[in-house]
Amino acid sequence: MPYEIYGKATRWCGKPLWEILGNLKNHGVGRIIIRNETKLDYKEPSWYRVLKVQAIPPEGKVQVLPPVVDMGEVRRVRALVDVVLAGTYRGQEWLSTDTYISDFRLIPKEEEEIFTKVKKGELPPKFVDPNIFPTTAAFPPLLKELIIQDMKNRGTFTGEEPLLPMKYAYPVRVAQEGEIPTVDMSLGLGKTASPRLYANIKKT
Amino acid sequence: MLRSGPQVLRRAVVSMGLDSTGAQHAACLQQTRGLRPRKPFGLGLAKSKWFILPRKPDHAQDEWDELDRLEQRYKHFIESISQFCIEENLKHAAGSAEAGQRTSEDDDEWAESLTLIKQWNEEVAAKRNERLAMERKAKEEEIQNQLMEAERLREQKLQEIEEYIRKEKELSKTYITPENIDKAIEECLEKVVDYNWAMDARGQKYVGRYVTISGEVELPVADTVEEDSLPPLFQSSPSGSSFRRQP
Repeated sequence: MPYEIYGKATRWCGKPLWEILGNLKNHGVGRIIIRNETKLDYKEPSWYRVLKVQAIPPEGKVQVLPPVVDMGEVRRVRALVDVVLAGTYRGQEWLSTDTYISDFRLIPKEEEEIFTKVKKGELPPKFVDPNIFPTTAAFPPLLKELIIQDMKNRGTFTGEEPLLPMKYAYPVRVAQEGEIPTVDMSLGLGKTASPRLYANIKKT
Repeated sequence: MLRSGPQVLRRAVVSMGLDSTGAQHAACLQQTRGLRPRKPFGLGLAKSKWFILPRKPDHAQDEWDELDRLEQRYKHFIESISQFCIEENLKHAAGSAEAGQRTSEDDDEWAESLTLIKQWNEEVAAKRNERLAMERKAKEEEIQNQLMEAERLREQKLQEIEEYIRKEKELSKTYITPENIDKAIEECLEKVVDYNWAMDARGQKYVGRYVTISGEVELPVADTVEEDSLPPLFQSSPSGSSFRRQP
């Protein structure tokens, strides 16, 4: 009989993490777990290798409104994993908050090397951020003028333009000594990856 | 619906069952224009919308990425500038190394202001001493007055007490003591007070009884009062009275 799937489209597909780890020998330490969300996002394989597992008691039923979604018996688990995202190693991480989501899948032992594309027990190369952010940037024009005036009043102005020491709101790769920053943090909108969005803008 | 006039609104409200007497509250509905009557939440989703899922906006991914990049860039700059301002403030704040450095000009100004403050203090002190002396004098006077008043009150109290004692001494002559108690009892037994008397409207007193307790018949001896000295039995209304009953 033909059938039609109805409902809100989610990015989740699979089982909660405890349902997988709780039924495995030694709580699945050393096994490979994947998430459907990361599978949708990246072409390269993304996976977790389980290192340590701590059980947490079930928390009862949880209903999310609206729309009414019965999450059933919610049970989380704390698990220390090696995170591999988009084919690069991102370090170790404790999973716990999102483990009740039915989004996890176990990779069979025979398919592990085929999926991860590395030998068993090995890890892919560590992730290196290609975006190198500068340590300093130019001040906004008015603030710059104010600072120069202030320096002149104090007699500390040497003719060099003052620079704003950058403090980044998110963790980024900041240029070390000898590194050339690749991200343009000069005044304006910066360097865009998709120039077509700015193609029709006319200068007046 | 609101533009259609109050009739439509009233009908709608009645049909929803919110207000069964909409006609009575038409004036109120007119006043509460901003409050649109809504369906109660308990009814849930309308049947006609059960199997309709709103489509998510399908924008190109690079637009999202670009917006994300611009937002992050903005936040980086805001964070950096606020940090710079905080550090600048700390640099020039009180207690910093810059504030610790002092020049001769500062010292001169400090000394000058100190002398000025001293002068002001002296002026104020003179005024204050004057005021304090006056206040002290007034206080002394007040205390003296209070003392005198207290003395006067004490003497008055003593006088009152002496008067009371004198009266009591006078009264003590008639006291019943163990010596004269028999005499007093005899006197009481002899003098029988009879309250069995009556009085008429004019104040005429009729005393005594016709039959005593022991059964003896006794005619009372009334105080003879002249008829003219008594007020009239029925007083006519005064002639000069403003109140007159109209015929």
